[in-house]
Amino acid sequence: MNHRTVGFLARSLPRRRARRIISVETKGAAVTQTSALDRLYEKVIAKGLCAACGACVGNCPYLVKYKGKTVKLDSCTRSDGKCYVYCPAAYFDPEPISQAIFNESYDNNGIGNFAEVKASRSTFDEILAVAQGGGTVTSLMGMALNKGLIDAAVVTSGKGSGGFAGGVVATTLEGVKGCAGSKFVGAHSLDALKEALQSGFTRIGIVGLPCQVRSLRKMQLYDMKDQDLKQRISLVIGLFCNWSFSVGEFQSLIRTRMGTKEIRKFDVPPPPANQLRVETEDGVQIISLDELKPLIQDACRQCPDMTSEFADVSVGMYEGRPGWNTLIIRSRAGLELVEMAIQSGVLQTEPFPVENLTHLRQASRNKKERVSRMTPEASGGHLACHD
Amino acid sequence: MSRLILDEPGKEILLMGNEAIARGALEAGVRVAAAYPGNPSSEIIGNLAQVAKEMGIYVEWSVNEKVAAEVAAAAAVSNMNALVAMKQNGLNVACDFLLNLNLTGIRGGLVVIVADDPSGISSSNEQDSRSFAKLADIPLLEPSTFQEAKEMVREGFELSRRTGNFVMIRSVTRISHARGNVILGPLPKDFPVPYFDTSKPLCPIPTSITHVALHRRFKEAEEILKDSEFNEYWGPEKPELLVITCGSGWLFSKEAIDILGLCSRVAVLKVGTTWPLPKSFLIKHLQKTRRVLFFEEIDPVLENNVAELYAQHNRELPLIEFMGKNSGIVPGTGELSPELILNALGKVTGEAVEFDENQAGQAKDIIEGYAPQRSMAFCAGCPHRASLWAIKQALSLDGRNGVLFGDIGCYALGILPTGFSQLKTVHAMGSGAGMACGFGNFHQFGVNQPSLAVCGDSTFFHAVIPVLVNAVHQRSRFLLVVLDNSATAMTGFQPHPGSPVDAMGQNTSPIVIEDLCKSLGLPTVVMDPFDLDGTIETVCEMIREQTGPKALILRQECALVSGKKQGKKYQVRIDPQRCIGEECGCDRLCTRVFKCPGLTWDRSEKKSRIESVICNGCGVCADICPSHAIVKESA
Ligand SMILES: Cc1cc2nc3c(=O)[nH]c(=O)nc-3n(C[C@H](O)[C@H](O)[C@H](O)COP(=O)(O)OP(=O)(O)OC[C@H]3O[C@@H](n4cnc5c(N)ncnc54)[C@H](O)[C@@H]3O)c2cc1C
Ligand code: SF4
Ligand code: SF4
Ligand code: SF4
Ligand code: SF4
Repeated sequence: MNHRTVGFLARSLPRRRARRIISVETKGAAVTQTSALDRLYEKVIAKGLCAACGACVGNCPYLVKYKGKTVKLDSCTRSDGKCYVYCPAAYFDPEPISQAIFNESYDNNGIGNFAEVKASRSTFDEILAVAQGGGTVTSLMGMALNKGLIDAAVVTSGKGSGGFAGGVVATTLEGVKGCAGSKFVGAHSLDALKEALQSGFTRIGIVGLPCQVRSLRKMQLYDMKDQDLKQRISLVIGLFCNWSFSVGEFQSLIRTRMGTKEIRKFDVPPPPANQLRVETEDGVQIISLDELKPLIQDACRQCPDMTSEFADVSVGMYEGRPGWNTLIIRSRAGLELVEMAIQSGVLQTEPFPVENLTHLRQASRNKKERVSRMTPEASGGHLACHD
Repeated sequence: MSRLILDEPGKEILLMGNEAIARGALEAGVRVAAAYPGNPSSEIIGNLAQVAKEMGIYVEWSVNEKVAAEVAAAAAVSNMNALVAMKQNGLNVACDFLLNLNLTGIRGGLVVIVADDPSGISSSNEQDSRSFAKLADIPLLEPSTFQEAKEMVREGFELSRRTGNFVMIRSVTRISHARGNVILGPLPKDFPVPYFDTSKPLCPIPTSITHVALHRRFKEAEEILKDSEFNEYWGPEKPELLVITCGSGWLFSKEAIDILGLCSRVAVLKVGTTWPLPKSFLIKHLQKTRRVLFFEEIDPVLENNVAELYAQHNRELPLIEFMGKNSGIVPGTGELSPELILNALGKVTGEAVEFDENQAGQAKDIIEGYAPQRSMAFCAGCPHRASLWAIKQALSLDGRNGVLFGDIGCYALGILPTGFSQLKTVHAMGSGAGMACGFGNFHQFGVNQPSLAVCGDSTFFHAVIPVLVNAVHQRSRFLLVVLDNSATAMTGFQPHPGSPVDAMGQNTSPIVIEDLCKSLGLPTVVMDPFDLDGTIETVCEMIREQTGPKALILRQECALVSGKKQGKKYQVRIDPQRCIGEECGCDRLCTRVFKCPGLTWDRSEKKSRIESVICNGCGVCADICPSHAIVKESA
């Protein structure tokens, strides 16, 4: 138990106990006696803590995404709802998940449990041309598809439904490549997982932000509808993330700034640049982050995970070395994937310098500390070990 | 041939109260009749419209009650006999005109029928319209039987012609909608020649003259009515208790006295000419008792008027204990019933009857064995359900807590779960639009909740057009949603100005609602509410950024009309394999939230089911099922 949550928990102890009793019957998920939806709404959505991960919206007629927001449409009476159980912002308990994926206790060192950290980049020019950094993510996903490790990939396209960034199901390298590049928004991409499951795919790979990775792991752990998610979500590639924008507001700001110009890429160079670079058909435009900060999702201000600590592998930028990624290999599946990629010449890797690792850890801890400065009450589910 | 025009004087036939009223008008030689539909008054004009051709009369469903009163008055100032009928709310609409007409008087015959709805069974409000007669200084008659309903209308016309002013007749649901035997009188052959005497303009100004003239005409009426046979006395000469009653209370009281064996102790005085009171008749009987108990529906109108009379004549009268609504012995609102009267009489006389308290409960149990309890709901396949569903989704998506103002029509049920509790106000005809027009202009105070109103197609014509004119002028940012089911469904499918035929079945050019809105400059969209996604999107778009009023017409025929005309559009069934029922991911969206009565929940199978007898085959539910378990196939 985290010391920061003690006050909060002490106050709600009798209720907690009641919930524990029910939770035995529901695979350990934090099921409440009240409607799961009401609780999700009160604890997460109404408080502005929804990170737009998309876990709840594809699965339920009462929760939809609309112009980048998660909207509750009606009431629901279920107490054991997936919506609440799968939501990363409702509650998150690192321990059972760490045990399930890494077979060991959660390592609270800053960047989570890992086997190895490398510098990496794609060996394909056409991937490097469209990728955000070293194209590691696109190369790994593409290879996994080509080699049949997965039969579908859930990735995030800049042109999802309604003109908003959103999740799509890709089954070819081309499809995955089409989604390369970072969209710095919460894109509800996990709702595309429902589509992939309904289409009958049995080995699905997903690229997600840290919040999405947490949700995916909760899905696998609790698997409320017995969908065999442990097996069917077979590869989780996590991104590094410090924050993301609220998509509705961000996209309308970009549209007013850029007009109809085609946007090729967004980039956030490392500090102290304090900029968002927008590459359009006719050159680069710079927007100061000071101007954009108000558009950052409230949920991100409360998220303690910078490196997707529960992914199979996590990929971020390599500060100071353009065209390269930082690659954290965490699980056995991740290790095998990277080895295969190196052996088959898809990925080029180099050792990751110790001083860079120290720096990465510090950056990660900074994010955690930023959250811990908030009151336990406001810090929401990200921190609360058990609800 | 309609029984209403049987020319067989002396024949006794079974008539509904409203038919008896219509027959009375025919026997009085009515030439013009107008109304806006409203229960419990609707069948009066409905019946006259059916015989209009044969009887050579002019009948119209007017756009609203004020216009109906004006149309009838036009006849009544031109030497004809005319009738206008309305429910209590309608009187309020017509009031402005009628309170000027009383001052000018008329030059023909005009009977104003107001059918009150005690307990508000089919109304938004409960209102005792009788106070209007006192306000307007006009005579008021109240029938107690079906025969009287006919006779009072006939004599009302005579009184109106003799006194040169209109006469009001107050009916109630239990008179208008019940049936009883009526002996027919002769139908006239000759009618006064219609003529507007242009040498004598009609103007209420100066009131120093017209108000005095009104009082004079009222005195004349009092004189004519003082010995009216509509006032009756029944029972012992010197009763220990005198029941004074009117309307439905007359038959109920006599029956109760009989049951309680009080015939030798209690008498009943029925007042048929409620205003002006039959003073000498009342005083004569008040002198012979010490206790009086009043029974009347809704307000203590008669009770207060008699108390006033008593105060004015106290020197001639003994000390009397008055009991009724003011003393709390009779409930202050609602309908009368035999049980209520038995109870009150029992309490006052000490002759309590024994009620089997269980009887009601037993009856309920027996009925529930046959018919499951259902909450008030839109019909299966009703387009209002789809419209309100779309509005609900759109307001949730919009996320600014939009307010949907409503008014009166079938869609007023939208304040209940059957309409997803979307309506937030229900008042008078068109007042949803009026309030939304106001609310749509409060952005200067920082209000950012979208302002929406719904109205029906008939209501649109009745009272909403002036609101739109106002909204354009004030640049109010509100969205008017016209729920156009192409019918005045709530009152029985009477035609309205959007219909291609009039009350008498003649072709007429329908007024197109969207054309009217567009002509006022409103951005206007027409949608089929059964296209849920399209409608949701449209509502979201229309309320997103508003600078002035907009109109959305959701057009889909009333399920009762379309069902009759073309039967089911779709055969709908549920695939039990796909139905996930109560499970997470649905939680019975169709039967728990959407709630069309065509869908039921099979408790034992834990699956939803289509009740094919009830389902109207609209197919809308197929589009809401998250599991695609509801299958629709063209019928
Ligand atoms: C919102 C956001 C914030 C980030 N913040 C940091 C940071 O602070 N520090 C850092 O080192 N790295 C950050 N990254 C990661 C970085 O931008 C690169 O995505 C990462 O380095 C992988 O590079 P790549 O060349 O392998 O990616 P690519 O090969 O270009 O692949 C990128 C993948 O990311 C997926 N993706 C894009 N946008 C989203 C999204 N919004 N949600 C989910 N998936 C998405 C795409 O589907 C694609 O598969 C962030 C990424 C995002 C989306
Ligand atoms: S964080 Fe994800 S699961 Fe939670 S409410 Fe938002 S979209 Fe739904
Ligand atoms: S419990 Fe299930 S059905 Fe209900 S809101 Fe949550 S996810 Fe939807
Ligand atoms: S199709 Fe569905 S919504 Fe339409 S009437 Fe039948 S059960 Fe009701
Ligand atoms: S909405 Fe569909 S899945 Fe849900 S109960 Fe009804 S038929 Fe079954």
